[in-house]
Amino acid sequence: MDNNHFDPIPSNAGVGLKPQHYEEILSLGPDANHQIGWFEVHTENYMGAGGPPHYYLEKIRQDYPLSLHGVGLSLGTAEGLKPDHLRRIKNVVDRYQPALVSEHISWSIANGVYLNDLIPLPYTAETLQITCEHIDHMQNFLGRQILVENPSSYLLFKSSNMEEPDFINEILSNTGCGLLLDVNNIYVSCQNHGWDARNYISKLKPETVGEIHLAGHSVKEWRGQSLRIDDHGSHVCDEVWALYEYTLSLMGPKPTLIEWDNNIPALITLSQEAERANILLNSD
Amino acid sequence: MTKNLKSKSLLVASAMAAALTLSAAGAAQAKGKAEKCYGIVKAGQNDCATATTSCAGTATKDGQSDSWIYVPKGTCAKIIGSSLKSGK
Amino acid sequence: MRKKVWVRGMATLFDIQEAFLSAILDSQNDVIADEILGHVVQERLNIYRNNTFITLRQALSQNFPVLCRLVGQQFFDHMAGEYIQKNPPTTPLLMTYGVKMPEFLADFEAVGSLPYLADVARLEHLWNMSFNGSDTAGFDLETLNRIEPDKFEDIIFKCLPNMQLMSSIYPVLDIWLANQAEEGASRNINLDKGPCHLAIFRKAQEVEIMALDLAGYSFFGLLGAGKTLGAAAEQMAGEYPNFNLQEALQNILQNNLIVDFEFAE
Repeated sequence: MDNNHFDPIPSNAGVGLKPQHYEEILSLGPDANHQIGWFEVHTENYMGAGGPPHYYLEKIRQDYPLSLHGVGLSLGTAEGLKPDHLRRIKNVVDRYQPALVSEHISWSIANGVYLNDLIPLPYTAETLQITCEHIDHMQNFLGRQILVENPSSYLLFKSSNMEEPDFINEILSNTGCGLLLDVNNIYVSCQNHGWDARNYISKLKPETVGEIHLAGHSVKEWRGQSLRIDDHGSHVCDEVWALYEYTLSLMGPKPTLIEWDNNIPALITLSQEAERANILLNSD
Repeated sequence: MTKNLKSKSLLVASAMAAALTLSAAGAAQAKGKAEKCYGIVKAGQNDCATATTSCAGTATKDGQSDSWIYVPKGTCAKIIGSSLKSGK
Repeated sequence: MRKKVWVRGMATLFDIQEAFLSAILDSQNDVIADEILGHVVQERLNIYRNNTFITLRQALSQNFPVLCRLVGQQFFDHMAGEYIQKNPPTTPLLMTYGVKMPEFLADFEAVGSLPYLADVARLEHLWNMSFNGSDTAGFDLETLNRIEPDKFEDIIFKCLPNMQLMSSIYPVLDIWLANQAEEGASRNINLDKGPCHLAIFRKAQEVEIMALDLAGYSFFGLLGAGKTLGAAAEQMAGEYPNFNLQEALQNILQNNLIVDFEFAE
């Protein structure tokens, strides 16, 4: 499968689209907003039948390439994908013809309850099989390749017998899907679990990476330990920028998204973060 | 019976004709007036971030229901009327 | 939720996810804690529990902003926590999460002294349904002018697809209006003002709420139920002698509340 017929996203910076910025984006127009090359939205927020979200996204889509980033399918769920939700995703994909469609390597649904969180998986042969089946199903249903994002996590399961990057590589080679490489997630998880972030990244294959995510996180201290919380509520930190540079040195330029979901700043702040990514993307 | 049906038909026809004429002319404003309230970000949003405060690191656990020591303390104080029951 | 115990290493992914769910929803950490590596397991699990509750609570306060103002943020947060435990989301769509809030409030003892809250929640949910409901292309009144007048009685109007109707024995529209500003209500509201009957709809991007009298509300209900104009008019004449058909129709046409029509077979 390929998605070349979908108006591809250039290897420059995009930002997460937030309702607070709809009007400003439209009034600025793409020329005055040139640091932002494309937008990404959470697919679930455009699953209503109509209304202002669609009104604005349709207008913005006319000026910019779009990436749909799902947060609700629960690819790693043991109870099977929800066909209703897959259908909803397809409706949004058909409506907006996005350049990229992505989901997460995590789970959110058990006993039919949706927990609205991206919960980590035990990395076992069973999980691998289930996750790959679900990715195959999704790709076949949509008729196109998807990207899956590496998670950030605060705990690990005893039953895991594969390292996270190896688990991800298995998924990619078994299903032919691409990787949404979240540099901040790698940094957060590596700090939380005592892993080596550069070693993690060096295990990933450049040709599989279809997109990169960058975001801010926060640091909480308790019981003499520090824990990184993936809250997307601040600037990308210097360590993550350094890790991003390292990633680009291995992978080459890739479409890069600035995610900022809590304490959402003015559009100009997002544009400045995008500019910083664009400088690194163009520095080769 | 036929006469009744005929008069109903006439009633509807004349009411519609008058309503259409008045509506087209935009003359007399209709009685119904709608309240508008515009809100782009009104509906709950899905997200992929962890809430900053989710790492409390204290004994506080969200989702644990405490005994109901809390009482409503909002603008409900401005609503009066005989149908209010006394608080329990 | 039943408690499960398994031999270490034998837990399936399904077992792990089910146990994780009990840890999040019911604070039953014991079973899943055994499966988690390292120290401070409880605290790490709490991050997931807290995040689920915090983000779902945020979604509820976005979907029920007036309810939130009426009871205050602190009370709302605790009430929302109970709601989430009793009615966790069964789909990943948060834009309309909270459909059971009216029933929840009606049974919720801590708000027993505020009987109007359930109807306020119902209004807010319907507002949301209209906000996210189907769009319409608009309707040209001219097409009605081309119809022979004696055919009017056989017309079945198709109302705006996002239109919702509700009535309450409390003046919930007044309450809703007084709580639109962040700063809270500036005027007192007397519940004894009596019932209200509302149509909630959206033509372009703005949701509108129209107050109707009982007869007008009943007429909307009959049209919404697919009655012909003739049948609706006849029923209205029987039940509401003072009902003015022409005014009601003018209201509907002038406010562009219909999107199409057809003729009864």
